[in-house]
Amino acid sequence: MKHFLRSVVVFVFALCLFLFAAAASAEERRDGGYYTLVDESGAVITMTARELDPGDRYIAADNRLFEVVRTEGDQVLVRFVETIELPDITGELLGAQVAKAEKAGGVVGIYHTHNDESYVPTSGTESKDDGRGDVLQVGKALAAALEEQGLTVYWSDNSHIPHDGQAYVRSRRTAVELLQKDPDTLIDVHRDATPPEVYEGEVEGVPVTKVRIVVGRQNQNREANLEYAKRLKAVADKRYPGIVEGIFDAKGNYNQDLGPKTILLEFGAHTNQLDHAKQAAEFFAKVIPAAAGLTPSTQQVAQEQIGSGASRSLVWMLVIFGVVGAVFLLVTKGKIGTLAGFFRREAGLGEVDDEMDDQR
Amino acid sequence: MPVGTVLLLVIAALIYFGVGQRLLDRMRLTDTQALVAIALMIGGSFITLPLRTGRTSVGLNLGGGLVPLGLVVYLLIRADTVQERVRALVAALVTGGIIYGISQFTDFDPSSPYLFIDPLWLFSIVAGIVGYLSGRSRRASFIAGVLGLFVVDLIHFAQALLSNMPTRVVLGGAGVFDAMIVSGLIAVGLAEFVGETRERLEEGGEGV
Repeated sequence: MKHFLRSVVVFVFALCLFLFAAAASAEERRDGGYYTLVDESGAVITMTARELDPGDRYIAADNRLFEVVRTEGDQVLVRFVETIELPDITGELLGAQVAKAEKAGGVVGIYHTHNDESYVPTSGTESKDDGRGDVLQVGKALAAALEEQGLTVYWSDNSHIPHDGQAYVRSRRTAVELLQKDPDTLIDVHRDATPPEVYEGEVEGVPVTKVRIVVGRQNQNREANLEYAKRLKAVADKRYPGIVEGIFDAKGNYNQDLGPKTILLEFGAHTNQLDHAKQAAEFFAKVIPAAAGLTPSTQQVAQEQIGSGASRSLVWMLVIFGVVGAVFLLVTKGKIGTLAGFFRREAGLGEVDDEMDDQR
Repeated sequence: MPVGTVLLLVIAALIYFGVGQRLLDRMRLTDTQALVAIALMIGGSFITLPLRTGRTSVGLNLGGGLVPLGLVVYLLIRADTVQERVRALVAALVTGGIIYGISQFTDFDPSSPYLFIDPLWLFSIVAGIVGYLSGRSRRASFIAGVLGLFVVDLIHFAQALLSNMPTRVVLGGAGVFDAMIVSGLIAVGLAEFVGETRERLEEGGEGV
């Protein structure tokens, strides 16, 4: 009887989760609509297909940081927080200019979690079932342009289809394969799903798609990766003003727990042209070495800046680890005073009073 | 590499492997056996056996696939009763079903409106809850975590074969960082936490 009741509880729990997901799915926009981010004065900040939640943050092209307040219909009301300071890279880039023959060196890994993603104006579809989506060509263009600068690039066209909620779990395997090549930076190349104007841009008179940088904040490397994202934007703003659409400090992980300098880049949206995205990749390839510190004149400062983010990440990680540990001790022992005994036992140095309990 | 970055990588790895070892130690493994299991997961991460090539390719990573699956088999063999085995296997199937169901509703992309938590963490929590509810034990949670993700991979493989999909199924392909292991370990941690909390609330339970 007891087991039967337990099975019922499991079933009900499973059912609730399914119903929750189904309810959520029913709310999904499938009408091609999108949301417009509007600030307190009514000015349009950007557009997105994403349904943002209060507290989400967005760094706009002009470095203004916004926080989502609430959603009303198709409008997302955001609050201006501050104008952030990007890392000052003037000196570094000047150094690179003086040493004209400066050659980049390092290893870059590129992969595509959503390898089906395509550009409608070019291919007539937003997603290719054969897994050879247009986005692969964008990654390939990025790889070729990085190699031209002297970098070693490992570009993976591994397929992770179907484009479902398991895609990141599958691409995690590709990411780890690439990490075994010891890359200095690991890039997951995507395209977004917004109206075309959000990503339409021009660099040096050439039409391009803009690039959105995405940092996942549900992992221990968030601070380091956010610092890296800011460096990418800082270098891009100097060299190719307007090419970066913004930085999305988003919920999620995107396999960025695997290491610092792991980043997600969105080259345009499905409504833009593939050629423009490839052109953007070629320009952006000239941003990455300086931002990641892969040229002699940028190496030291990049390491310091991204390292400072890593240090903040480290502090956060230790604080969270400590809090979780303290709560666990409070729950299991009733007081934190047993901390020393707990660590003694866990390190195998002291009594093993609950050895038997552990075996359940 | 700057000191901060090195420390971040080293300490994150130490916490992950250290906590992982302590969690495995909670499941009828001795200290040494748990340490060996973690070492095998790390070492085996670098080896993937190709099981099938072609349009739908299949591989098995030793550290991320074979070792955790071996642990699951060991735990099932060492289970006290047939009911315990059945409960753990049912929990794994239920976990796999729920995870597969959730993953069909949203792609967890940055543009997804339902992204409140990363799927990696969400799937682990599902496994922990289902595993714990089914057997109120850490072992059932671990089995639900590892086998649940394995079931989802099998569903993906079947889907791919049936529709001749050009894709890769690499069981445990991310090695010691694969979702199968992460999910199994988080599920055990959750069971430990929930179990201990329940005991405290009930004051005087005899174990998780």
